[in-house]
Amino acid sequence: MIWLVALALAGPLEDGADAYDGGDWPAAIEAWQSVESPNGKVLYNLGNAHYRSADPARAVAYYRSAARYRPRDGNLAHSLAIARERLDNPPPPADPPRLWQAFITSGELGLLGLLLLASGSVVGVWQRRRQQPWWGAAIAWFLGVVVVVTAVLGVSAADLHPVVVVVDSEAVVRESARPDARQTFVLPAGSEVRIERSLAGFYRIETGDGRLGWVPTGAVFAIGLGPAPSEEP
Amino acid sequence: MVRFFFVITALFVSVPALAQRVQLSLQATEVEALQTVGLVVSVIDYKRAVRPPSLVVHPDVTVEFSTDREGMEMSGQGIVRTVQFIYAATPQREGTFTLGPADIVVDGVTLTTNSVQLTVKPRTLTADTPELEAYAEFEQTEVYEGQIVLYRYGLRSRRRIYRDQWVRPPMARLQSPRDGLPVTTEYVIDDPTGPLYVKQNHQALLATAPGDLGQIPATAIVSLAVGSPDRFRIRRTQDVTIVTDPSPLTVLSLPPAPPGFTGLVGDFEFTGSLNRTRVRAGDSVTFTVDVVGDGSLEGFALPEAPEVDGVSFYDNMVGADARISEGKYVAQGRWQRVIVGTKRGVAQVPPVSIVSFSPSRQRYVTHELVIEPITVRPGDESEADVESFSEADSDADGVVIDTDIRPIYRAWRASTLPTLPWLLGAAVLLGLPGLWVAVSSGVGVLRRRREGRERPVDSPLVRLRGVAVGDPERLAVLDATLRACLANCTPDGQPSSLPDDSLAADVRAALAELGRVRFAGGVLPEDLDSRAVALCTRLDGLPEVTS
Repeated sequence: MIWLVALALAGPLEDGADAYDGGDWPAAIEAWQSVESPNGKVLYNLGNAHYRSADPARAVAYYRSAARYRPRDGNLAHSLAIARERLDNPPPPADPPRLWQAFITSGELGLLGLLLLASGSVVGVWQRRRQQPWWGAAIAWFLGVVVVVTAVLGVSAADLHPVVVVVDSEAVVRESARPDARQTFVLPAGSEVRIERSLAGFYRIETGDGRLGWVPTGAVFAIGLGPAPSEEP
Repeated sequence: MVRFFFVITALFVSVPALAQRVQLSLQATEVEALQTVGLVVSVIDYKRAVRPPSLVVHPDVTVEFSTDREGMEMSGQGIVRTVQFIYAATPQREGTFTLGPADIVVDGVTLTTNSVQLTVKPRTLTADTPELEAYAEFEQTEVYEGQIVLYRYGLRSRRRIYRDQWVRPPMARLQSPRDGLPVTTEYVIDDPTGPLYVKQNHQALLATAPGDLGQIPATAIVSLAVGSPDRFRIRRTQDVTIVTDPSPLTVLSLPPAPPGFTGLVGDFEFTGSLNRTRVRAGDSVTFTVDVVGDGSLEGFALPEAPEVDGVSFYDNMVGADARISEGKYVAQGRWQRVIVGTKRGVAQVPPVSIVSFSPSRQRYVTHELVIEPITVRPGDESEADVESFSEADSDADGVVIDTDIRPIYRAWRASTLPTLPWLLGAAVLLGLPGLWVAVSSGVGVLRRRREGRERPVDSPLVRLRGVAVGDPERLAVLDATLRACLANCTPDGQPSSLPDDSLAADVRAALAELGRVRFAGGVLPEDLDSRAVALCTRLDGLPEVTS
């Protein structure tokens, strides 16, 4: 299965790599963006291509998206830090919706929980057949349930409250979800903020230093939120 | 003949560099003919026991194995084992002799030591030689400005030296270098006229200004042993004050310096090495420059890197230190020039030219370190400037912290996040067996509890039926059964609490008779047995009293 997926991905990915090697960054971006379900490596490569295209804000957006899949990737952390250096004094980056997501993906945590569940179940059945105490298995099973539930909530939180990045130009943050609402502060391009909720074409966001406000949905970008705006919304 | 014995010098004198696995050293490099001096073979960092090597030396120098000493040393890798084999070397005539090298088998590998030189002077020591001599002098009387000179001062005594305190000259315009701490050496020379105790100090000094920097005499207050130890093994000592001769020193000015003079004064050896010659654009190679010499390396830096198309340079000092070893000042250091390929092609980097002043040649010398051409292959080319480098961990390539992004991934297999339905479905599937165990076990526990509540309580009569008439235990069991039946149907276990007075009287009488028979001795009468059994049966039929 994995082999088939890799085979299906190989075409545009190789094209993108060739274009990247040749210095044709737009072609590399186009090739990699054509991948339907990009994994962490593809998103990272997209970040690199945007960085080379002198678009550090989008590079940061792709790197943050890649970090959901590869939180412990040293290359990713390094390149993200380099791209942030190119930005014009953005606020501190927002943390992932769950702090543990900075170290482990929801999938990895889910697999760990499933492993605990499976071991608890198997050992429990075995011990019961042998008429032996099965408290250890019960604890593993219970922990497995807790871990799986945590992972499920993590997936849900990452979908509901993703970290998004302001791209192209600065974003005006308003007091409420109305275009004529009072402006509270301005986020420069490259600012990494977390979405709290959405309402009437606005996102309620929280910055890394705890400031809250509403920005138009088109002002920010992240994978899964639709195409990145290339013009002012 | 008086057998010699040696006072072992401080370990750091004999084992100056832990990087060397085997080393040959002399406790004194200058002796008189027929004097005996310690020749030390040091083995550092070994695992299996090492045998003393057989030393091949000059035919005019007699060498005999004396003793060995094992110890531990701290090194960069932790604590390592060391052993020193000490030989007695006795030159038979004056001259200069080269001792060693020696081959030693350490952990199955044959290692070769360095060789050492022993200078032997004609005999001057006689029985009339003063008991104590002090000296203080510079190793050289004429040095150049910026050169390191060693100030040597010490004592030679016929009697054991217990303590010495020195008042040295002020050493104006002579400065202690940052590296190369003073060293004290203490040993015994075995002489035909008797043992000679030697205590010697070396101090490195940097001549900072030209002129006459001769120093006034130094003064030493020395405690020497007197006679034999008393009955409590306490030695008496005698304090002696002794003054040395003045120590002349002339510091010469350096000739006019050529362009690019680095400020190094001394005889140095430079070696340069490149870790690789092919590199991806954006990656780096490291050109390492190693320096060894007898001058100070303080303030030294590689000459400014030239502008070369296709590469950029970043210099980094790895480290430098110095020590005094066998009466010489030895400085060594390492510098690195990190060369980053910025454009594909072959980069011709000009050699590194280092100009120093050599006191032995009395002129400036230029050391040329050639760098091989560097081939820069296509990679993550970038116009971005690399701003700083620092030493990385254990990477042999001298990996540096770059300020460019890392290369793209070319292997596409990667994990993806499991979707919520997949995660939940798998959890249910894998968790169900465990849930079944928990539920079924819980049901089992509940069932057992319910069965436990419905099970009738065993009557006290059951035990009585198990003991036959005539059994020696029958009397005790009968008494206990009657009391148990009484306790079951009365709140306080007393016959008076029984509802029927005649029954109560019968029970009381039966208990009394049973007690009498039990404690006064005797045989249980048959009628008492049958009466008691009948009473037990009656009491067992009464309703149970619950508290």
